[in-house]
Amino acid sequence: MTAVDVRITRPVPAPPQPLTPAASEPANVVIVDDVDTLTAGAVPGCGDDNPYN
Amino acid sequence: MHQVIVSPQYDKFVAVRPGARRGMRIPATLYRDLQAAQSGGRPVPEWLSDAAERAWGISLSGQPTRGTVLVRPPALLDYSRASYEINKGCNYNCEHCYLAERKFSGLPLEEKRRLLGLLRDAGVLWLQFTGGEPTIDRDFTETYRQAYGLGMMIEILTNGSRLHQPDLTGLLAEMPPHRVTVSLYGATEESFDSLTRRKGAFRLLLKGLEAAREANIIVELALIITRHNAHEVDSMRAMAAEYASSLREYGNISPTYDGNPQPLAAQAPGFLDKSSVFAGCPAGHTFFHVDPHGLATMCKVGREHPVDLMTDGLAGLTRLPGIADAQMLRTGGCSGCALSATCRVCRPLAKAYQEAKAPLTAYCQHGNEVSA
Repeated sequence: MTAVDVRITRPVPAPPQPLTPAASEPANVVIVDDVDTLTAGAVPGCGDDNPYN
Repeated sequence: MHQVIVSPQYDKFVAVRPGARRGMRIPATLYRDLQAAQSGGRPVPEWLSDAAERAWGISLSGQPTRGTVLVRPPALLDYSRASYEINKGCNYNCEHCYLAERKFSGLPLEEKRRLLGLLRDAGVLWLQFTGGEPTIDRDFTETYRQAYGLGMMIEILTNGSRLHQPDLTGLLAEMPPHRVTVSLYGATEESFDSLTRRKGAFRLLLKGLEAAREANIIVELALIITRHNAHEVDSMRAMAAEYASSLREYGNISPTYDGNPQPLAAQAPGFLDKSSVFAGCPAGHTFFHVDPHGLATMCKVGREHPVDLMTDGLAGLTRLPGIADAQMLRTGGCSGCALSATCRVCRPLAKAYQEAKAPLTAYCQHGNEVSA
């Protein structure tokens, strides 16, 4: 097979470093109205998990 | 049972409450504070009880952290989401189904429990039960309870045929899901029963939606638009307004994931969305799919080179990003395509269309050129 390019736009994630504050981490609690916004980064590119009939 | 889940997610931390629309982002310092409160047998910290009051209207003040807040430890892998096809068996026989086969089979209960433990260890916070029809699996209730107890936010994809049964509504009222997504196959008995090829299916759906509403279960309706019901779209939207907190519409009918063209016959003319452009996908990197036998793949469509979670465990999952990337390579007739930046579908789905010998207009911008 001939590969021209790759559609994956996200690199393989590095192992999590959960105890190190991220640069974008909130200083305090941030309440979000739509809990689905917390799934950012794990949403299928087809929009959601039920597009296939 | 816990009222709140606090979990790492990649390099951030979230606090969520099953069945609630609001959530929280919290800093690492407060996550560590909760870990300490839990291990030290202390009550829920004041900052969390204050935030829980504002976000969810609940009082956690003075309650022990342990048992009230499920504090998930840092995960071994970086997956936060998974779909679990608990059983491909279904009580309907829809013309448009994307599954290659619908056999009633799956893992025994103890293995299902072990699988869920692996998903938890991989980092899965957001779990979707799907099928087939997941609620007819004989172990669904126990498996759901297990996943809930492990601190997962659960979505169920269902045809709604069992939603009226008290054992199911009771379970969902006791352990609220993140969402129940019910597929809507029409707004009348005629269209609904015709598409599902099951007499009485529409009546069961209505009973289920009524029961869910009475039990305050969050329902999303997925409007599946086909040639059987396209003339009822407005009525289907009205049903969503009456019974659901949200709706999504699906007008693109795909082949089965292994390239059988049979479902394409259900496509409703005029409802094929040709405007959306595929812009990449983290499948296999941050989420994955598991079939009834514990075989993990990048998603529901890209099922090449599955990883056997039951034999390979979490170590097997480390191969999945590479497997996913390989399936995203543009190959075959798509190699070197000049319109690749405007593909409407991902590569695995395009491959299914190609194997089904579907017309280009169904999935490819070249089809637009030809038909223009």
